[in-house]
Amino acid sequence: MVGNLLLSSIAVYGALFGLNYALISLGFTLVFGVSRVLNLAYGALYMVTAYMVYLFAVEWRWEILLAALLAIGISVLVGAAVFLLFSRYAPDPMRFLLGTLLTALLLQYLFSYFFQGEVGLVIPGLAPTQSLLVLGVSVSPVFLLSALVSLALLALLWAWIEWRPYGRVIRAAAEDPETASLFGIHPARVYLVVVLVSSAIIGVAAVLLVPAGVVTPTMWVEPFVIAFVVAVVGGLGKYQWTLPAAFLISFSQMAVLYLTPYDISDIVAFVVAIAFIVLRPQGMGGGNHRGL
Amino acid sequence: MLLEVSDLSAGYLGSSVLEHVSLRVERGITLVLGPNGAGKSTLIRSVAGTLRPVAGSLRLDGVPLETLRAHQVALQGVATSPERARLFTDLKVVDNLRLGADLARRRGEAVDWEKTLATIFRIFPGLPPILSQRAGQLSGGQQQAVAIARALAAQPRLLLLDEPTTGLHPVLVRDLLGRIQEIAKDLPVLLTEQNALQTIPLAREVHLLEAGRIVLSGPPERFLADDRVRRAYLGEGAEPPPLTEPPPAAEG
Ligand SMILES: Nc1ncnc2c1ncn2[C@@H]1O[C@H](COP(=O)(O)OP(=O)(O)OP(=O)(O)O)[C@@H](O)[C@H]1O
Ligand SMILES: [Mg+2]
Repeated sequence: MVGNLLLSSIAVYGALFGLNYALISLGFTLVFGVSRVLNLAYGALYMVTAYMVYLFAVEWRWEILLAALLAIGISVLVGAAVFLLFSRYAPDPMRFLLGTLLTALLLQYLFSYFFQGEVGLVIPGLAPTQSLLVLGVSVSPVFLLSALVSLALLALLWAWIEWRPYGRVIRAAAEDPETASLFGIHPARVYLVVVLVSSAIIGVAAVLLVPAGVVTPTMWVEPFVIAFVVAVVGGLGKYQWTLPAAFLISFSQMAVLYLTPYDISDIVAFVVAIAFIVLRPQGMGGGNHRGL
Repeated sequence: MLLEVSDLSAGYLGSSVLEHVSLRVERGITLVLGPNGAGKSTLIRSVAGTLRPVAGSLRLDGVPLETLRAHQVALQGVATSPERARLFTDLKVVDNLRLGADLARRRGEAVDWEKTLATIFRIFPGLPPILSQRAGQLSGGQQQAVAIARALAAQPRLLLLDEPTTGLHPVLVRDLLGRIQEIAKDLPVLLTEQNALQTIPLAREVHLLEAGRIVLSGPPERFLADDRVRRAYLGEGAEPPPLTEPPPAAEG
């Protein structure tokens, strides 16, 4: 007999973690879906944002909201610069992948050089710190706020791409850039717009989530791994499947955590992803077809 | 409106395909005939800007196109129905058409969407019932019709059609060619085809492209009378269709 508290823990934490995984993964999947490149510097933007918030809000003592907005702005600039650099000078997918991975490592060493000795920095958040009770389960407002923002961004992004005229342009450029160019669309510009949006999303994720953890030079790995695992499960590039994939992972993790004696959430996530790679390589979204 | 192609050479990664191609496209149908691999699509791509020519010039009313990229050529008012239609298969038919209209808007044209649709439906009466279908689910003939309609929705100054009748039933071919002829009444159309018999009589000017070179150019009468053309493209001893035959009626 499974207790009610156990079930509500699985439900509440499964939903919260899922939404937060989706927030972290959304931009990565979207960029791949539209421009067919794996941007391994994606997780580094999370780190850039976190360090900038630390610099502005802690070292320079700016207002946290101002610091957060500026940090997101810098994430967008760095994201655009990295994308432009490699899509111009190393455009084939393998070189792009290697170039962006090296960029992530470079940023890691840069931050550990400039913030040396300051291990495990803490940044202030936008949410209150007092825990709340949801369905009888204690929840940190940090995760609640980021989950709500995630839901809002998922809905906004979906509406933009499916319903707005520019969404039509994005879908056309994603499916067939050459034919899109016959209709006055400059695919490189569309890719850049999508990179700007995705860099802003991962910046928002960092501003909301990092206050629950610490800022370190290797912190870029975790969001990157989450984004990668969610992308594999949902189907690389199928941004609509980000949330279902994130939920599959988060609910599997919570089920194992609460229904078995094992605390192996990371292992569960990788087992799910590897099962997909082997049994359903196209992911939940399906199809090898190019496009969103 | 006039497109002048002068001394155009083009190819892929060092292998040259088109050599010294010159032709003019004015109102009506300018037809480029040629066998598989002759370079018809290469010509269309060079004009549309998806392939940068190696040498020669392309002038649209005097404006040089050869240095422009495809999206810039489109913004000059050139619309294309590419080989095998290339619809955006994930999008609904209506959204494919809207992408055409988007191009007209981006060029600063006033777009009356209802009027655009009405014009398209007059030419392609089969479209209204399939508007909300995903373009990937259409038959080959429907795809060709949508591809041409999508280009028309761009209110082009010049229309490029790359083998629009490929894979169509002979009756549909006649039907589609009739519609293209109607479109070409107010628009310069560059049409590539292999189907000489049915297309020559519709053209204002015909060019025969073989192995990347134009080997014969002239008005339809000359083509239908030319022995070589008759042997190789119309079937030996074939009677050319009379030029006085009325164009096939656009049904519906
Ligand atoms: N992307 C490409 N890369 C390299 N060579 C190409 C490419 N596309 C076409 N070619 C070559 O260019 C030549 C002309 O091809 P093109 O597609 O222009 O012919 P076509 O007249 O349109 O033929 P078809 O009637 O079969 O469509 C062919 O020899 C072909 O092999
Ligand atoms: Mg061809």
